[in-house]
Amino acid sequence: MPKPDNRDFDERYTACFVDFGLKIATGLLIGSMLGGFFLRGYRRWPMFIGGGLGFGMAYSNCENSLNNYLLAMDPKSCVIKKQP
Amino acid sequence: MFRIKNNLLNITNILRRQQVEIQALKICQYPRTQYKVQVREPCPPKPPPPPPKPKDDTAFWGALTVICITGAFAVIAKRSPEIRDWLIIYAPWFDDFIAIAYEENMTYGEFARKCVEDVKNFVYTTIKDDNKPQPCSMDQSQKPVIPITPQPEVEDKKGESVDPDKPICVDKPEPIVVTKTTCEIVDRLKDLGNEALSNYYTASTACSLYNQIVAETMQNFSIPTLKELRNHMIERLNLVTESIQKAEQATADIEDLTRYLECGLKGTKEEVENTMTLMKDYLQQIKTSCILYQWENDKSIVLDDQWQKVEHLIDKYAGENETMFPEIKYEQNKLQFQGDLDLLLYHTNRYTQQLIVELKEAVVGMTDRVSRAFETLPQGDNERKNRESMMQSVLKQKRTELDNEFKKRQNDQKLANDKLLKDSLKKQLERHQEIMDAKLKEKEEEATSRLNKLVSEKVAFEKKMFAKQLSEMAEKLKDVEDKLNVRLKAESETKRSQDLWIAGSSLLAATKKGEPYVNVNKELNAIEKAAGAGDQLVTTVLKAVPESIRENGLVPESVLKAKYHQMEKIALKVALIEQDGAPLPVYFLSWLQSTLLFMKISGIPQEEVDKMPEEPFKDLDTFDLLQRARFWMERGNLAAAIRYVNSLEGASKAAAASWYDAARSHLETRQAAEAVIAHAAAIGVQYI
Repeated sequence: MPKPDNRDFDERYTACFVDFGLKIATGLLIGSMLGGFFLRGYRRWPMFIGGGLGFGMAYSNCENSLNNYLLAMDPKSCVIKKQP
Repeated sequence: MFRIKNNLLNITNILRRQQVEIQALKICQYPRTQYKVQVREPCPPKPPPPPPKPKDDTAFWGALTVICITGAFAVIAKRSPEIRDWLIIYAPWFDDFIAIAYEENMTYGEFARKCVEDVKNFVYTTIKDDNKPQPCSMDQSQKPVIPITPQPEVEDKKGESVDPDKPICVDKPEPIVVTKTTCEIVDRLKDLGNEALSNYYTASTACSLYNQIVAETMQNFSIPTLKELRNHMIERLNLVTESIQKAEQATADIEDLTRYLECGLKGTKEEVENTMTLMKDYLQQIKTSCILYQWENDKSIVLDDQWQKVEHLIDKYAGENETMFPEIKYEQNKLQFQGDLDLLLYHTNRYTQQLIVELKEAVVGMTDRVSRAFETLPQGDNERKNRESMMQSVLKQKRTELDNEFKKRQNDQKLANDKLLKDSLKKQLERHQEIMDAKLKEKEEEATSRLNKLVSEKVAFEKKMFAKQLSEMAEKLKDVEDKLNVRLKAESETKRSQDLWIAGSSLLAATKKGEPYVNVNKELNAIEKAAGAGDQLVTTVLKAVPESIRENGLVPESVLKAKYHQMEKIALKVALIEQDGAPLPVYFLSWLQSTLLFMKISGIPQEEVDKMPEEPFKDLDTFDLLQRARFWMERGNLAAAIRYVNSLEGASKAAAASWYDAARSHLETRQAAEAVIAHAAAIGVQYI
């Protein structure tokens, strides 16, 4: 089972910014590398694909982490009504 | 072959008008001949062999499917009773299969064993012969048991038991084959002879014993014994007749045996002669014993007569007395007489007189007979003198005998009387002794009980005195003990209050330290130890300290302050976010808002400073709340700050949650420490 995420809200918030920058940069890099590997000549569109992927991943990660923290804060407890 | 140039195919070229050059060339590979050549086309290559049919797995998969379906159906049937019932009616074999598979009636092992046995039985019954002996079973009937006919009983013993008494057939003519040996004859003779002798002996002893009994009865006379004599007589007669009969029978048998001797016997002459002498011997012995018996018998008969006479007389006398005086009973030993004694005496006297007369007559008659007998004897002088002397001697002898007898009887009577006296005296003595013993015991008991009473009284008195003294001492001791206890308690409580104060203040100091997380477990344990066992306030206070403090440690005040600013920043940045989260663009908007909105640095409205409003902070939004919290934090009022932070809503609250928890725990711990210190001071003051 993967490690449970025990970070504080502050940490998650700052990590979000960091995450965005990192993932976009990496995406751009990897995209351009793959494009250069498979295509002849310099094409820019793989780079954008990679960057877009990175942005998307960062976006979903950030949203999920922040929202999960908020949801975990006040869990609406499931009340199972006693079946008569 | 036509070769069309590339550019002709190009669409632009086709659509363009231009000159086209066509060059064609025809090449013949084979030289032309005049003959018509049958050109046969080369054989077409063999078609490739058809590929092998792909492996057909349908059988396998089909079987597997069927098995799975059956298994599924079996499982379903097991779960549902209705299907099971349907199966029992229409497909009982499937129901059996389910029973076997689920081990309903027997385990797999048992089922396997049962199958094996069934197979074996089947093999036995069909393949093997029927003639062979079948294994034993309880149902088969028992084979008929051949009864063993009992051997014909041995009828004749070897010749010996053949009764020689049977008259050797009077009808048959005399010459018979005698197959007896002398030994047998001798044995038989001995048996018979002994029997005869013993019978005669029995008879004579019976008579002599009877005589003895009669004599004894006459000696120690009493009426009941007289009556018994009759029984004895009857007994004697029976016995005598029996024995005589047997003896005569045996004698007759012996005489029969003589016939054997006359007839001729197997054996040597010596043996025969021995047998004859033996027989004569026996006969002689029998005769002597017979004579002895006769002598005794005669005596018995005479005695019979005598005592019967006596009996008759006694009966008459007794009968008369009993009719005259009905109280007299002669069977009893004691006389119970109330009537006229003189009449009885007179009657008795008459009887005695009569009997004396009869006795005199009998004596006279007897003397007469004796003298007549004397006269028949030879009358010479010598003979007479001899007779006289003999008679005198015999007379003297008889007299001495009688005297001795009389003396003996007298002595016996005296002895008997003495013994009786001694016995009765002894009995009386014993009785006296018993009474004495009883009285003595009684007196003894009485004395012991009195003594015991005295002793117990004294003891009780002493005990009471002692108990009183003891109780006085105990009271004094208790007083001393109480005073000591009070002093002890005071001292221990002061010490405790000191310990508590120290522990409480150490905890308070811990809240003012500098590390991010302060481990206060030691301080908390110290407080617990210092409080001792029974201090409820301290235990309650310690319970109020939350668990997170013990696990993670305390966040001191300085750290809280620093963290507050961090927390505030984040909380402002997520001010627009709801409690359940929001999509990311909203986060971005909120961040934008926070950067563009400025916080008023200076304070909060004056009214609020003077009087802190109660809980509901409905009108204040995040920014206002945080501003006020910051104000109070800077002033050091943690409680107020916490209250404001608590009223945050949405994501800001979540963002502030960790700081809020830490601050609250800190506050609680601090309050607990202060409470402990106050409590310690109170205890201490009590005992000053």
